[in-house]
Amino acid sequence: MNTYKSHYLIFTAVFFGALFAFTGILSLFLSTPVFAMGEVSKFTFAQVEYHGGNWNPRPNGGKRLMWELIKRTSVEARIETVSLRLDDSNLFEYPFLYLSGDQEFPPLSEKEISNLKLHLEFGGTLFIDDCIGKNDFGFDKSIRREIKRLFPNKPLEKLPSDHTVFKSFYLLNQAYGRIMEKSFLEGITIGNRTVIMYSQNDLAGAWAKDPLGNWEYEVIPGGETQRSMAFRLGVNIIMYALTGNYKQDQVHLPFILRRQM
Amino acid sequence: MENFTQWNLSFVGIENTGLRVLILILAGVALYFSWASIRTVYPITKRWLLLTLRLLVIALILILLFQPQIEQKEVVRLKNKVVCLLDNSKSMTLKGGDTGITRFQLVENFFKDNASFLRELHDNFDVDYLTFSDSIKEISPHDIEKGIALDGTNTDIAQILKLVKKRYEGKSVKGYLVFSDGADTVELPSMVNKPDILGNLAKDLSTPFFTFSPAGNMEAKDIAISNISYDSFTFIRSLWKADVVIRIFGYKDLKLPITLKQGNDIISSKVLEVKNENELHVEFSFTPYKTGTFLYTIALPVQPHEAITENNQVSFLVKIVRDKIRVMHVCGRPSWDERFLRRVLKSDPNVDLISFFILRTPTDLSEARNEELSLIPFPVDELFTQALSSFDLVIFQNFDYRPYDTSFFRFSHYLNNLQKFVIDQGGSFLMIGGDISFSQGGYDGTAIEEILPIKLNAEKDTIDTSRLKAALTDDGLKHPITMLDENTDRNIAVWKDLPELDGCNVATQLKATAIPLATYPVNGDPPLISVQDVGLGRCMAITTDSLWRWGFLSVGKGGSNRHYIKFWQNTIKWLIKDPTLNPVRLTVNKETFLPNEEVQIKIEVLGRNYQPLADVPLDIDIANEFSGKSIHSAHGITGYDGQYKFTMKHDREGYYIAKATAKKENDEIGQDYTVFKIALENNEFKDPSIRRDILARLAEISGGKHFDLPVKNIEDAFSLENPSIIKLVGKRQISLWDNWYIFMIILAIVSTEWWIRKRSGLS
Repeated sequence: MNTYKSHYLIFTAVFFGALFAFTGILSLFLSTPVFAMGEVSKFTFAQVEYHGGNWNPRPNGGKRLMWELIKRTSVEARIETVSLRLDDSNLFEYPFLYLSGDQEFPPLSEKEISNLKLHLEFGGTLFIDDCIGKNDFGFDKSIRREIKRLFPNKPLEKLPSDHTVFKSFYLLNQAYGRIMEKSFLEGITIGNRTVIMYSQNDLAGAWAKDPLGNWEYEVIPGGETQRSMAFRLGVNIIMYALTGNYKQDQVHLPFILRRQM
Repeated sequence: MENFTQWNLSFVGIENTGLRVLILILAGVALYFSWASIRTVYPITKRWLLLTLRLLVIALILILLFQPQIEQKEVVRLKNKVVCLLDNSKSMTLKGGDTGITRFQLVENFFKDNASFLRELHDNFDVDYLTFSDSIKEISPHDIEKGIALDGTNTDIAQILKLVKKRYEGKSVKGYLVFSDGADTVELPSMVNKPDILGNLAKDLSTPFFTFSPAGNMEAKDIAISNISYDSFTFIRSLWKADVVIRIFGYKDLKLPITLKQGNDIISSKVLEVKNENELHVEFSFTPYKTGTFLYTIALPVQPHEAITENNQVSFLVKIVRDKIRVMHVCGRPSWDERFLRRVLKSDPNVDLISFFILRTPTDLSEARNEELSLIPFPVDELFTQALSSFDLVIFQNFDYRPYDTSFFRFSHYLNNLQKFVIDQGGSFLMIGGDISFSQGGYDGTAIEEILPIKLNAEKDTIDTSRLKAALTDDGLKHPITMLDENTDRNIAVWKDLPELDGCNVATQLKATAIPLATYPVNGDPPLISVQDVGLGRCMAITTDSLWRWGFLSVGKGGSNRHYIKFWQNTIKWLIKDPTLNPVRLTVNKETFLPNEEVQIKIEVLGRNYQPLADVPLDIDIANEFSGKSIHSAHGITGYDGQYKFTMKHDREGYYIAKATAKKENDEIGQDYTVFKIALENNEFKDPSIRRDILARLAEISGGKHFDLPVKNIEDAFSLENPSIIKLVGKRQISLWDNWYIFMIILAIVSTEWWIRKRSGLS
C-alpha cells in the first residue's frame, strides 16, 4: 500500500511537473513578448529621510505595501522602496513621498522646506505616517510644526469621509492602521487636490512583514480585519496620488453611491 | 373741385342785441324830438329838408356805432377720396391653375371690364392709385394700362395699412379698393390669427375696404418649401435638425423625393408620399464633423406645369462651431504620465474630459468583494459605439485592448469604429506609449495601426529604456505642436532644456504620410512624437510614458512646467483642428449681401510663430458654390500687418465661395475659405396661396365687401357714401364805417343844417 502510494505520488509529481514545464515552454513560444518600459517608469515608494528622530521606524512597511499594490491593482510598482532627503536633487523623480517617524525631530532646513513646497504645489503628494500616534507629542508635534512652515496659511484639516482617498480603489468609511488613534485622516488641500495626507494610526506598522513572512506588529484592537483595512487604505492613498479625483468623475458616482447604500 | 364766392354783411360794433335795440330806440326818440322842434318851420319844403338832414345824421351815427362790414369768401367744393391699392408683389405674376393668365392680368381686366364704373367713380370722387408690397407708391391710372412692375419681394399688409393711415390722416376717404392675392409674407407666431390682426388694423381706418382677389381656379400649381426651421449654428459632432414645411397646391398622388445637400454632395434624402395633403412636414438631421460655415440645400424636383420653380430649392448657411473639446481618456494603468496629463486636461476649462482608467486587470487579486470596491465596469460598448461620435479626441494611454476583446464584446470591432471615427467623422486619436501600448498593446495589424503615423511590427518592435532627451526634427521646428516658444532659436533651447525621458516604444518605421516631430536618440532614431492627417481626422503617436517629466522635473530643476502644459495645449489644438492654428484666415464682413452691394473681404496670414506675416503673395478666387464658375480672381500681397483687404461687387444672386491661398517661395503656407450669399430677399414664393380669408376679413370688419375676380358690372354691387365737402380757401373783409368820407358827410350835413337854420333865422 505504501509502495503503491509512493509510486502514485511520484507519478503525480512527474506528471504535473512535466505539464507545468510543457505549458511554460509553450507559453514562451506562443505568448506576445512582454517588455517593461523600465523600472524608472514604475511607481516608486519614496521615503523621506531627515536628520534626528527616527525617519524609518517601519523599514519593511513600504515594501510590503508595494507587493500588495502589484498583486491587487494594475499599477506597476517597484517592490524596493527608495529613501532620499528633501534636498536631494532627485526629489522630483518621485511624485509620491512617504514620511514617517515615531520621535520628535529637529526642524527641516530651509532648502528642504522650499523643495518640498515646490514639489507639492506642482503635482507631488506627501503621505505622513505617525507611528506612535500621540497627539501633540514627539513626531506629531514636530510634523505639525513643519507643516506650518510649509503652508503657514493652510492648517491641517480633517478629510471628510466622502473624500476621494476613501474610494479611490476600495470603498472605505474611515482611516485604519496598526492602532486606531484617529478614525480620520488629516490633510492639506490645494485647489481640488489633497497634497498632504496625515495618518496617526501607524499604517506602515500594519503593513510591515519580516523577511520570514511574519507580521512584525500586532494590530489592535481589530486584529487581522483591521490590518486588511490598513492595506486597503494604503492602496487607496497610492491610487489617489496616481489618479487624483478620478473617482469623483460623474461616471463613477451612481455605482459608488449604490454600493455605499 | 368747384370754386365760387360768397358775400356776407355783418355788424361788429355792438354785439349785444339789447344794446342794439336800445340804441335804435334812442335814435327813434332823437328823430321824434327833431321833428317836434321843426314842426312849425315853413315852408314845408324847408321843414322836410331839415328833417331829412337830421335823419341822415342819425343814420350815419348808427353806422358808426354798429360798424358794418362786408365779408367776401372764396369757397371750394371738394370731392371725397377713393383709394385703389394694387398689389405689385411678385406673387401677382403667378399664373392660375390651368387658366394661363396671371393674377395681375385679372386686375387689369377688371379695369377694362368696368371702365364705365371707373369713369363714374372719377367723376364723383377723387381717386388715388397706389401700388403696394411692403411699401406704397403712387401711380397714375395710365400706369395700369402701360403695365406695372411686379417686383415686390415681400407683402406686408399690416405695414401697408399703417402707411395708408398716415397718408390719408384727416382726409375724407370713402373707400379703399384693394386688388391683391392677400399672400402676406410676414411670419407671425402660429397662435396669432393673421386675418384678425389685419382686420383690426383696417377697422382702425374707419373706412370700408372693398377687396378683390383672384378666384379659386387661379390657385397656382406648385410644390414649395415654404419654411425651414433650423439652427444657423450648431456644435460639431452634435445632431443638427431641420424641420421642413412643404406646401402642395394642385398636385396629388405623388412620390416626391427630397434631398439635403452640403455643397453639391447629397448627405440625406427621403421620398415623401403625397396623397391629398396641402402641407407636409419633413425632418432632416445629420451630425457635422467639421467646423466652419457650410452651405446646405434642401431640394425638391420640379413637377410638370409647376408655376414656381424657385421655391423647390432652399439654400442656407450653417455655422458649425466647437462647444467644449470632448476628450475620452482611456488609460491601461495608473501612472505618473496619466496623472500629469489628466491634471492638464482637467485644468483646461475648454476640455470636457471623460476618463476610464483600468485600475485592476483580470489577473489582479483585490482581496475584496466587488461591493467593497469603487471599480465600475468599463462601458466599452457604449463608449465605442453610441457615444464615440460625441468626442473630439480619443486618447489611448498605455492601454492594451486585448483583455476586453471577449467573445461578447469584440474590442477589435470597436477599433474599427475608432478608425471610422477618425477617417470618416473627422475625429482625432492619440496613442501614448508604455509597456502595454503600440505593438506591446497588440495593435499590430489592427484598424488602429492603419491610422497611426507609425508602422507596428510586434516581432521587431521593442522598448528602449535609456534615459535620454527627445530630439526635435526639422519638421518639429516648424510644427504648431512642438512650437513651445514663438522664437525658433528659443524653441530649440527650450527643447534642449527639457528633462530626459525614461525610454520609448521603439517602432522604427514611420509611415510615408506621417510627419516626425521628435525622435528618441537611440539606434535608428525611432519616432517619439509623430503625426499625420488621416481622412477627415488626425492622428498622433507619442511613444513614451514619461512626458510627465517635462513638467515635474523641470520644476525641480528650477524651471517651470509651462512648456509641458504648452505642449499639451498645442497638441490638443492641432488634433482637433483648432481654427486658430490655421495660418490663413479669410473673413467676409457679413453673410448675406444684396446684388451689387459691396462685399468686404479680409485675409490675414500668420507666420510659423503665429505673428502677422508681411509680403505674402495671395491667390484669391471667388466662385459660384454650385456651378464652380469664378466671378472674381485676383492676386494680393499682405501688408506690414499681415493683412490684405479688398472689396468686390456682383449683381447675380447666388452662393459664393471665397478662397485664399497664401504662398511663399513656392511653399503653400495655408489656405482658407468662406461662403457668402448674394440675394434679394424674396419671400413671395414661399407660400403663394391666395389668402382670400385675409382679404374677406379686411372687407367684413371694415364694413366693405369682398369680390372674387373676375368681376363685371361692379356698379350693381357697389355703393359708396359721397357727402359734399366745402372748403373755404380765402376771405376778405370790407369795412363800411371807418373811412373819412362818412365823417365828411356827417360834417357836411350838420353844416348845411346850420347854414339853413342861420339863413332862416331859426335857433
